[in-house]
Amino acid sequence: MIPTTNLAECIPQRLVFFLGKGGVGRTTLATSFAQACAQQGQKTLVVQWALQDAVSQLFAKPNAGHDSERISENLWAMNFSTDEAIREYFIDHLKLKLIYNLVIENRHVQRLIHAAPGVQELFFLGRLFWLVCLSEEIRGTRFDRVIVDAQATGHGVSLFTVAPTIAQFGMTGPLASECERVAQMIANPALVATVLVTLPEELPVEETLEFMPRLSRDLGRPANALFINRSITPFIEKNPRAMDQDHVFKIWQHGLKSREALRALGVLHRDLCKRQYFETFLRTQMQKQALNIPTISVPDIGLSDPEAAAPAVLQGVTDWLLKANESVLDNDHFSHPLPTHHHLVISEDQR
Amino acid sequence: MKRNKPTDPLSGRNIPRLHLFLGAGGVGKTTLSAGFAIALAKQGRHVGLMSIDPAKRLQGALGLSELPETGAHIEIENCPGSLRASVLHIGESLKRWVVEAGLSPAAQTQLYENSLFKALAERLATATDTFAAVRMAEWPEREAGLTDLVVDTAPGIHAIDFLSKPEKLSAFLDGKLIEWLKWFSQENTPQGGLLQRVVKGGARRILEGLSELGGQRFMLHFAEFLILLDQVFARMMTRLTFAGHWLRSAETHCYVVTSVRYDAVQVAWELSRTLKSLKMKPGQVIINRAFPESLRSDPGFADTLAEMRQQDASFFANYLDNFIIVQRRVQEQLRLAAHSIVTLPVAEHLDAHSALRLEDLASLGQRIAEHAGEHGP
Repeated sequence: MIPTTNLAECIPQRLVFFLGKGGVGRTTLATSFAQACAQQGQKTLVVQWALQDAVSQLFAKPNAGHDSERISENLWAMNFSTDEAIREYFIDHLKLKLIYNLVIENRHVQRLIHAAPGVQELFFLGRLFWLVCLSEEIRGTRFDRVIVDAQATGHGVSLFTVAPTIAQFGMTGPLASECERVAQMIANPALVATVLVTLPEELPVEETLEFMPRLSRDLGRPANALFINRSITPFIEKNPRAMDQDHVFKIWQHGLKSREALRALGVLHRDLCKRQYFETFLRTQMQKQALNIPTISVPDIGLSDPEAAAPAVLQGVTDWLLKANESVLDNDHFSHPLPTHHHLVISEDQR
Repeated sequence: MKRNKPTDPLSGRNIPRLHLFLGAGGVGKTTLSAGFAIALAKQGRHVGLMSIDPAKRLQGALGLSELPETGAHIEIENCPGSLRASVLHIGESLKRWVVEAGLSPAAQTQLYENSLFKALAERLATATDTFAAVRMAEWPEREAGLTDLVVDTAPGIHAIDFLSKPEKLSAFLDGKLIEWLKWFSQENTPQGGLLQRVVKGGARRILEGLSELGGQRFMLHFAEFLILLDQVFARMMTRLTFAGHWLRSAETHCYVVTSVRYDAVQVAWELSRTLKSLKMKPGQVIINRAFPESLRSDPGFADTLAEMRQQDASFFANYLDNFIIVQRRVQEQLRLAAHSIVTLPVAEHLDAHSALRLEDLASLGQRIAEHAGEHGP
């Protein structure tokens, strides 16, 4: 279960999509993977499509906008904006400033753009196409890696079916050729990889099992990897006694005074073991359904220390992805003197 | 306790009391709202329950493998009240609304064959908050005699966004755009006064610009679609307005659910702020799956932890230690945001991976009901 090879090398594609529902740790894993690439000397960009840039925060940097901002050595971040992308497309790319001013900026057309299916997704993919295939020709800049942190269903339509969907509408003209080239980009397995992120919990596991065949169908190939985040399996594999029921029960029975406390501890123990149960369940189901995707357990590093600061946790995951550094499983892995309250980012005006 | 029943400001008739469960994903909103609904029904109320995306285990507990969009009666033993549960299926609701809007069978066929319909239905489905509100507003219309409606909302901070951003839906039925597209698809020559002609001339240029970008065929497709759905959207807007009034009613109760997780607390905090800024009643905060007090207060607990560390089980000992640290922080933070906090400890029966029982759900719901002062019918 400990990755035996460097994952940044196992997934060499230039454009890597991290897919998963909110709350599974998609941003943490996408950023760790990007950091792994960056630390191997590759110029890497993390692309988000969110209300707020969450990646720069992890590096204590101001929020990035639609243009990429450097956040550490070899690492950049940006947060996609549909409006900016549309402006770039019409004014810089198509050189249609007049149409842009007259048509696109019209209030009613703006509402249409934000409501119509697939339009925002198409421009998102168009921007990725520009980053991966065009930026070198046009501006002489090039990212070795573009890591995308986005929900699988952009703002509605699946990112991977948007081009064929729009093509179905009988579109012609420049938007139709845009569809064609992003569809070609996505269809190229040497260029584009997808990584799924899930949690070893009931609903995320159910959803992942349902999503995997859908992705294979939409994309024409399965995901390149599945990351099980917040896993406890690596800890248990390293030390089977750590969660062994008979072993710990003897200690509790000896130490605790009330039966109620003993029962409560048993409940907490089973609660944590549930993660192992759902991870095994997921792996078994995948095998049964012949979903043969490399599956990597990412240890719940924060679990051993709630005081660990974001960069330390990020580096821990990065190490795990890069060379399977087992020391992140040690209880004294983090050695930082000061507790940081980075988890609760509540500004003064909210108080 | 005698209560003034909320009334519909539009029709003046009594409407059910609304109980809204809000919170981050994975904190147990769906389970708690189901438990709460069962507890109310056991008190003799006539309860509706609207769930979003329940796990299979919960559907199993309610005795239904697939909860229908329109709801189904749930059998509960020794229950003087009643419970009707449903799951949000936006696509299916949309199709039902199309039928109910009185579209002719021919128009329905035309609509379903429009390639944009499927894509747009999918697109609309992401506006879960808006759709859930429209569906919610439908309950009093469909279920006479309902005393309470329990609503499980979409995860995250956007669950009640439609209150502040109703334009998310109205963007789809921009009257002006539909009007333009009507001219465009029917090739009406602009008529009427000079001013109108000038305006329509401008619209024509915009539409021509658009069709230059996407092709005329696409524009006609889109026009056809919007015109067909015009009535359905208008009906939805009316319901959305009603949902807004209903939510702001003094009788409406919000429950902000969190678990002992920093990200979930942040969502709870944001939600409490949103309620405040919308001038709604402050929500009751529920800390779900908390550390059991009986364990923390056991005089032998500290020694037990030390012993576990000695005997190769420091992984679990650290986990317990951290649980307590995080919970303390979470409580400190929430005390600043909420006037009332209910703490529900990790419960054995709910967290086992075996079958979920209705009884266990009910006792959990009962605890929330007691805290909220919900006694008897």
